[in-house]
Amino acid sequence: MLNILYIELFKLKSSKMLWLIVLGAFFPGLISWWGAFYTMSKGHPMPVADVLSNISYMMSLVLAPLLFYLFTAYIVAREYQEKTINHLFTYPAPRWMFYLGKLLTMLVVITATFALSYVAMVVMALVYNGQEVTVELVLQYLLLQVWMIPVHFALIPLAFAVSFVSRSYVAAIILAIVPMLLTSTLLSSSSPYNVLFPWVAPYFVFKTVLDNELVNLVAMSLTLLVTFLIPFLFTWFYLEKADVHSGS
Amino acid sequence: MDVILRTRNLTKRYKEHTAVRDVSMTLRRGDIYGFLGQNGAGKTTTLRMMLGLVQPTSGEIELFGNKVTAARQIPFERIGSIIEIPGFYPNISAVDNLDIHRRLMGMGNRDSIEESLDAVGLLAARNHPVKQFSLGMKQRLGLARALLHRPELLILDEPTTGLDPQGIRETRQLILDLALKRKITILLSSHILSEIEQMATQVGIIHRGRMLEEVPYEVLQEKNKQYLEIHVDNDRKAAMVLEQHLRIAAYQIIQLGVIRIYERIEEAAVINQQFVRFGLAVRELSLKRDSLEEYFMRLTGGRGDA
Repeated sequence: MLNILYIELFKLKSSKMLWLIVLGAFFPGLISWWGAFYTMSKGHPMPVADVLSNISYMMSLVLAPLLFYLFTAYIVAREYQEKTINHLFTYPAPRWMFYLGKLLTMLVVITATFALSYVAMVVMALVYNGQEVTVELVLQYLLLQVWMIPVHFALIPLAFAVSFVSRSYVAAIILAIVPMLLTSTLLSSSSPYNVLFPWVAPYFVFKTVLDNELVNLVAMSLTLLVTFLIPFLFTWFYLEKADVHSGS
Repeated sequence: MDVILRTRNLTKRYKEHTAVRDVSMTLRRGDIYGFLGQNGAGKTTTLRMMLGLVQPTSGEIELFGNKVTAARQIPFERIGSIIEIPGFYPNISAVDNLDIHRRLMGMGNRDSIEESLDAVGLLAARNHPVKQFSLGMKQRLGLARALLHRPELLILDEPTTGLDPQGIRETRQLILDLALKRKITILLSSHILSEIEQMATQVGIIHRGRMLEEVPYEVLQEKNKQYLEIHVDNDRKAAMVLEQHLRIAAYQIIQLGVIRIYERIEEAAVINQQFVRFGLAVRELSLKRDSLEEYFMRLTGGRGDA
């Protein structure tokens, strides 16, 4: 299994798609810190905690789902578009292993994105105003970033299912954009049923970690579990049964 | 000779359309099996079924003496393949692409990568990313990958697609060498008759999903029997002479004034004498043989080269 994970990561060598990790990790920070330094220059400095909150919010609710779905679509759809799928399933390893390899690759991508983002946040916070950077704040954001990894990973099998069935990037991008738009609508409604919509989960993590608000974590976890398991199993069986054509 | 691959009544149906119908074929060790058919005849679907990429609707596949009912039962480490245009990861080099293959095949030694690249003439381009490769180079790299793990059976789907004449010649020679020197059994699909003619020891002809014929190449050559082609001024009179005076029934008037005679062809002089005796002007008399292309056209009722 480790061999297959290594190979999946190796396939990304020199790939431009790796820039998505950089984009996901640094773009929200770039925007937020630019704003923070600008207001500081005008004599109205923003508190560090607010800047960090903005970065995390932008990253987890807006950018990350789109980037991770795009990345998922890339590592699946490329096998069909480059016609490597004709070869991938003619090795002495079951198809589910390649699926798990790709799934774990996404776990690595998500972890790397949040880890880089966290390091950048802390460094920039120290540069911006070191006095406000407390151990408590650093640990709080560490906890937030660590939480975000399984939350975003739970949303990934759906993107895998859509990408394997459609064999293209487009469907996964639509899948990322539609929930992103729905999330903002749902958040403005503050319905108690929001917790059943898995893409709202990062918001609840914010509330729990940053604002110490009580959220129905059990319902949220169950929603994420179902969101993970159903498409995960679907893709597993789909790959075992589906005929392999490279789209020709 | 032991059977390496055998299919029995292999069928693949997609809703209303039957892509492959009751295809039975046998590959023996050492064969270069030419799997001939026009585009869309069902060649690639058949090969995909052999590799477990497509699940047959019915029928059996036997590989190296064992019946295969699921992809996981296929001994992939004993098979090398190219299906359609070989696919590679364009962002990484030829060596890295082959290294992925090496790792997935569970091979420890990296030396075989260089050997394979050398065999297909790509050693100089080994560190170039595959996105810089032409279609012909990708075909050759596909062959290098198929050979890397030293398979006993090579399944090659149209391996010369995209190659220039020089590349086609080199690939043909490579395939012949693999069969002769390395004793690799080769299943080679093509829609180009001349390609099969120059390599195959066994030929299977598929048309509209059905296997029309499966014979050793020599038998196929024999089937393309010799005939006498005679150009005369009056074919009706010539026919009368053939039937009534020479007792020859196996002839065909293929066009005005041109007759093909399929029996007693060794008696060309006698036939000529008789024609002259009955006042026929014989303009041309020659011994000919059907080309495989003509035979293929007769068999499929279509063009020789799809």
